[in-house]
Amino acid sequence: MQRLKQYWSFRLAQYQQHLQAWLNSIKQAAAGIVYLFPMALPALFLLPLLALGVIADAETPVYQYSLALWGFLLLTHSWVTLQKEGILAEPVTHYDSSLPLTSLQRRATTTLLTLYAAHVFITGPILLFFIMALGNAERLLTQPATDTFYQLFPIAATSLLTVLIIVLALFRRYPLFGLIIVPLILMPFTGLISKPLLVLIWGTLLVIEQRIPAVPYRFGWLPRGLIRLYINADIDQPNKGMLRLISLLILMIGTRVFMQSVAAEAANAAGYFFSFLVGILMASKLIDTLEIKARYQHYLNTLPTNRKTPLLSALVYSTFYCIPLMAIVMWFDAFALHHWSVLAVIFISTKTGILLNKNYFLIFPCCTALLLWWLF
Amino acid sequence: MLNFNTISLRFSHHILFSNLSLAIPEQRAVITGENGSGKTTLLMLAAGLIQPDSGEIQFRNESVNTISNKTRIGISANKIVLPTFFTARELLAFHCSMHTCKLDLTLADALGLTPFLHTKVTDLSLGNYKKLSLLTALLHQPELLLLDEPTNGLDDDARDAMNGILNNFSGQIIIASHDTALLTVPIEREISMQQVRCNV
Repeated sequence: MQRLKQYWSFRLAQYQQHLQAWLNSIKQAAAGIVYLFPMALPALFLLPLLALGVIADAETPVYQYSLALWGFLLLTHSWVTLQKEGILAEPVTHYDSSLPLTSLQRRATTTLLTLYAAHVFITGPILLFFIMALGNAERLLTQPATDTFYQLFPIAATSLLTVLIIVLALFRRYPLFGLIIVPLILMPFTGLISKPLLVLIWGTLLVIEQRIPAVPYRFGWLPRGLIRLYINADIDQPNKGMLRLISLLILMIGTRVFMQSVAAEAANAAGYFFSFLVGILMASKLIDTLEIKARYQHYLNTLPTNRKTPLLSALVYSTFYCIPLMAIVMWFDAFALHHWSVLAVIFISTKTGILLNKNYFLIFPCCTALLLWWLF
Repeated sequence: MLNFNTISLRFSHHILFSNLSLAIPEQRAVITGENGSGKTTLLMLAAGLIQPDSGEIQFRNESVNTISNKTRIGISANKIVLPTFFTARELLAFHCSMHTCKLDLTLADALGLTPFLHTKVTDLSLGNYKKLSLLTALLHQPELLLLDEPTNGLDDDARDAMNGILNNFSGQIIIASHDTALLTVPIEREISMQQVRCNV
């Protein structure tokens, strides 16, 4: 027992060290998103709770249920993936293997550590399920079984899918199709099927995807010139792009769910707020691109180009990079024309801010937003 | 000919060069000096990679910052961080596309880099990284070759190959090194950093 206790302390210390290192390194990982992090952290903890409220309500329409569930699963997967190394003690895996413990003891410690690391996401739906089941036990037992199923299915299914997603995040490759591509493509049509069918299809897709061997993808053609340098830098570090994509998806899911749940006037105001956030998120890609330029500045200076060419290329590339992201925002169909106008203005002012002062660039979109508010 | 015309450069409060004027007409010159004496900085200035606070550096009577001179100058220095996300071959192809030169891998073969052409730059050993750095300096056939500690990290075969390449090089070569014993290039002039700092 004493040995197990010590082993737990060792794994916990390893996890906490990783968490600390992660928090320090995230500042360099994807600066644009990280600048928004201090503001977004409280929301990050509120989001799963809000999503669970929508998910657990049996009266929630299927379309909204699917959006909230998607957002919740995306958040859960991202949260666990970011802490995966620490949870599994990957940096000290060989030393860990040399310790005299059974695989059952190791698995139990990993499970406990996962619960510790992802408490909001894993215990949230399970706890809610038990509260709903035990709190209404008398009514649930006396009413027809189909009604009980109707009441408890959404949260029970969420609990199961959450466990599946956490297992995938820890031990399997990224479920690109099951968690991003297919839900995104089929998003407008989810209202056409029932919740049980939706969950069944989703769960099956997530499992089947892992059974299919990954196909390595090579980019056959890439543009020439400095743009190619920036593209290759992004291809080499897909995590940064994924982080931006997932942030955008969660933001847009939040936008859709929130705007559909409130009155038209409040929805309009929320639209402005979310378009402001989306504008900053997209424009902040320029920070990453400028960091690549700064890292290889001496080498770029050896190339026979005008001194301003690397900067111009960074501007062009970071703008073109946002086109597919814009297409995703359009696909969500959440913004009206005036929201798009705000998004465009914020996008431009954020980029201007980054070019003028990277450390305080947020002042620019904030001042622009205040100016727009004052004018209109 | 490479000319430094009344160059001044300071790093925070430390004055590195003050009104330095230096002409290097020799085809083979070596800059010597102890660690931290400013050899690499002088090469970086010569390649137009860092800008002096005042003064101008010219090659063939034209500023080293012009695009035409960028193609005439090749530099290999540890301080130049190469894009680590390319494979060695991808980087050479990119380099050639920027310099509009033909990708000729003969030199890579001579230096023994061929087996590592598909290795990511970030995964290359110190010696192979050095070879790649030399190739980026040489591939576009410059008229002025600036090399910072070119023998560092190279094995005997690669060093012999590099000496062969340098001996056959038709343009001007300026080497910064604290140890010239491993170089077989006939040196016409040795410029010590001590002299440079005292304003040659």
